[in-house]
Amino acid sequence: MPMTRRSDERGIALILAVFALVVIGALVAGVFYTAQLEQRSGGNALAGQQAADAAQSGIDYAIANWNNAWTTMGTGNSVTIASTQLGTSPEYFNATVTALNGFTYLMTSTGQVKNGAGTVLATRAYGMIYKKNIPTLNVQSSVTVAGGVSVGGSADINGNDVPPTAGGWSSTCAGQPTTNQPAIRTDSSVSTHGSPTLTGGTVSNDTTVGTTITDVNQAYNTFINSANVTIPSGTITGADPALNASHVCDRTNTSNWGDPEYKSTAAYTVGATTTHPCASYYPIIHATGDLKVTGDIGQGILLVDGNFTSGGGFTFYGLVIVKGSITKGAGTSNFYGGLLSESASITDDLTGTINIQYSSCAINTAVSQSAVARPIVQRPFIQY
Amino acid sequence: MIARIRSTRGFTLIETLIALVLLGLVSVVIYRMLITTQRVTDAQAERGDLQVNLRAGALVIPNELRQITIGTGTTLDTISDIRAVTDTSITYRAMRGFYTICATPASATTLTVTNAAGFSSEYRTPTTSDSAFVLWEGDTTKTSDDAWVQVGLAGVSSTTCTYAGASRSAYTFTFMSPGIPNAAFPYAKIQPGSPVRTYETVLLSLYASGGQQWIGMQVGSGTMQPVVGPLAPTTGGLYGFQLTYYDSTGTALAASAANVPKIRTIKIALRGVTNDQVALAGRTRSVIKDSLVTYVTLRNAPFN
Repeated sequence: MPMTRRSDERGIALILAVFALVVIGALVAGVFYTAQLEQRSGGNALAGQQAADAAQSGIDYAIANWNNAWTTMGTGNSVTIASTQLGTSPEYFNATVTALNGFTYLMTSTGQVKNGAGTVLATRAYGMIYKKNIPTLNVQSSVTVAGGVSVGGSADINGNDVPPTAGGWSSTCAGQPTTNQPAIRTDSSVSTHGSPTLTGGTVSNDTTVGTTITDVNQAYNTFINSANVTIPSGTITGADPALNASHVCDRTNTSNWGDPEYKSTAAYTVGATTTHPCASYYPIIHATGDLKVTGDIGQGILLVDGNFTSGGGFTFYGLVIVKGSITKGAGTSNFYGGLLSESASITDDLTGTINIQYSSCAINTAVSQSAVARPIVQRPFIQY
Repeated sequence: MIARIRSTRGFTLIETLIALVLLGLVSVVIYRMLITTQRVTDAQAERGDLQVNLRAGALVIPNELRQITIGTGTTLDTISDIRAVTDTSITYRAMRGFYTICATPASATTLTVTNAAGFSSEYRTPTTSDSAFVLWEGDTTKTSDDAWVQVGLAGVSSTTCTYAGASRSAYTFTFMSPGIPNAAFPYAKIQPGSPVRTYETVLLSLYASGGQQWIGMQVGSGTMQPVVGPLAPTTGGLYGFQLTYYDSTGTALAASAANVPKIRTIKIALRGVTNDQVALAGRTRSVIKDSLVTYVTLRNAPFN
């Protein structure tokens, strides 16, 4: 006979089960909550570190993309590098470069980490103080050579310190002190043939040449790292100043080596006012091998890793540093400033018409305009 | 005969005993579940606090040490901001402010600096217990002859100054005598726009208080204050707060003044414990331990 279930025979199993579920649920919720806190705490720490990395990237970016035009900023003025995302990461930086005076610059960079909705998760800021550093190059002759020098033909090498007068040089060099120097200094000997003009004479076995060459060696790699124009081994013809469509000096054009003589093709005239935007452009030009230049004009610093041949019609204002030998090709060449052959003698005669006019102003202007920023001594880093 | 009424029948003794035993068992289970829940919750809360504590330490300490300068000499010189090191402590100059000089000073003992936004960074307001480094310019075209001149602050007052063509909020620092050492560093060569860094000397050390280990911070000759802790007691040569110093090649250095000029990176090991003991299932009550290791590269140390 089947048993009939009585309505008042219900046990407490259901209540116990519900209670157990509540307790277990509370347990799980507690663990979940704690784990979530840990995850958020860890996530915050990660975001903070990522933001710090982004801030550092901003500093690195600013110095890697140092623009010499920044050195002309007035005291207290700033340039801002727009918010930049690091690849596809959630990290961003905003960097600012502020001129503290005419030679000290404060770079600040704020790094941020954002989530997908653009909400900032963490922010860190770093600063670095940089100073415009002008290499010490005590060039004391028209031609400085570590090795023997042979000069012939009708070369005209003038050690008198005469500022250039073409283009804007008169105003650039106004008031600059001048000190006459020998035409040639070498730590070896000078031989001449033909009828060269060596104003200021020559100094052989000069012990100061070693110091000058050492300074040049130290500055050479710094210059290379800041080179505006890098050219391979070969012959260059037709380097001329150039403006872009906005009538601004086109510094992306590797054939643009500045405008030392106010060439009409690089002038921009509005009404009665004519400007020469490339006159203030003193590029560092780096030839990675042998270089022959013909029919060009330029200013700044010309670095040649190999041998240098100056072809006809080449005019250059500033400093020429050649690792190999210097050779005069056919035609007329004009140099205003100084030539240095760092590790080799002039192997071929400086024959024909070559004019090398020493000018401390041309050298100093080129070097100072090519100054690089370096962290100030000992305490450049600031943590905001 | 009296008829038994089924619906009014009571419990037998055995039924009652069985019910009581079952109720007891269920109560024990419930009790154990509640106790376990409480213990797990307490343990998780303690563990969370411990990890937050360690992470805070791993954030604060590198921030304190990151700006440290190391001199270029081979012995501990006046340039180095680290003044003493052990495996469990470090005494250093902690940077507290960066300011920009408004104008070349008119004397060796006063200097006006702007604290305006964009030209300063302030951890806290400067006080007379601070010292300062002032950048001295020789040849403004070179860095080779620049130097930081060290001075003590005897007075700090708020003012304004004209810098970069505008009136800006500023401080006037009065230096302890003799101020800028004019013979070696003529104050006339201090340039507007050059930076000034204020600092205080800080000891960061493992120390015991209330029967527990802590990282303590002592400013100058002040009282040691706990900043991170509690930490695990020392066992087997492992400290709750342990510093390891490395040179530029990553080689560990013995903690000594002679090695300070070589320090480029500091490893910071934090071994923490929970504030209270917790009892997990099957274990006796004890503190939970956790550790965190971080490194800080000294950003104002030489690159070699």
